[in-house]
Amino acid sequence: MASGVKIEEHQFRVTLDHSAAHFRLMGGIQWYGPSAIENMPQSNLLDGRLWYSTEEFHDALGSMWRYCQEHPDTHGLDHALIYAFDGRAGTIKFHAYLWKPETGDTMQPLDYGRAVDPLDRYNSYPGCILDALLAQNKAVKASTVVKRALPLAVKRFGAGASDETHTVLLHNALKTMMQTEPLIFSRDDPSNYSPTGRFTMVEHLGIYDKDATWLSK
Amino acid sequence: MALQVIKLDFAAYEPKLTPEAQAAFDKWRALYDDMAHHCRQASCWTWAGELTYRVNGVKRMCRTVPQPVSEEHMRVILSSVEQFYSLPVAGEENPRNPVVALMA
Repeated sequence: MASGVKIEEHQFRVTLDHSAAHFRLMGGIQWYGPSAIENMPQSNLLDGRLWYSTEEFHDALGSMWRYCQEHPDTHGLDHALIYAFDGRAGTIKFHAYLWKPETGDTMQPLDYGRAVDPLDRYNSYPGCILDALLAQNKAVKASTVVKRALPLAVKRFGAGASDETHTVLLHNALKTMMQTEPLIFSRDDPSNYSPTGRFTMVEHLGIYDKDATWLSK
Repeated sequence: MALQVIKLDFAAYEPKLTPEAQAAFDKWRALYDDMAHHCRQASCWTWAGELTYRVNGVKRMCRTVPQPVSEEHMRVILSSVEQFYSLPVAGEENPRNPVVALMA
């Protein structure tokens, strides 16, 4: 019996590079059952499978939805996470979605950030950084990301702290995310205008192709 | 925060089948759908996924032949899927049927 494919975060970057190197679209679906541990929805992985074209993706998801409709009370499925790695243009585009049997013909785009507490997605410094990163269209300087995240932080939990405090905490959040998240990609660009001789350029790999063009035929 | 939702159009990606071919496919796949259901009930999702992938092999092959797929093409596709993927069939000639093993 073949075993399912577990797609893990640390493989995202490698899979993206692979799909871009071969100009291919690929992706995976992870099927999850009701959580085995409280508050950990991803604790019960049932099966994982890769797909290599939009048709194959629709086949796989469609047959599972059909199964869930035929057995509405006993299907034993909780949700599915869907990843798409689109390298057809030679550049890397990443997508993540959440699918549930109750709303089978729709899925919901996910913002991907591991350092972001999902229960505290909006009222935390990593959450502000993630929103600033996802609003970009290309790699920008790390200090620019912080500058753009500052108004978000001030608006969401600004009272009682100075802008300097927010800036320091945002910088810390960004540094942590750059070191822990495979989807946040940073690169040092040499520059004569910086005292250190370089700028750190940061981007989130989910910013490309926000309109999900991989889904259309 | 408005919840963004993406609508999926499964029907647009289905291969076009003639009614006879569709009937033959539905009749053929009922057994495997049932097996997949029993596998999932026995919490053997990996094998069920394997089975589903093989059944979907019919759709993948249907996309490579002229549309809409005729009954004749469907018969060839079904027999080649059964041979190529060696799908287990219930019966005395196949005592090692995984579904039988699971439910025993």
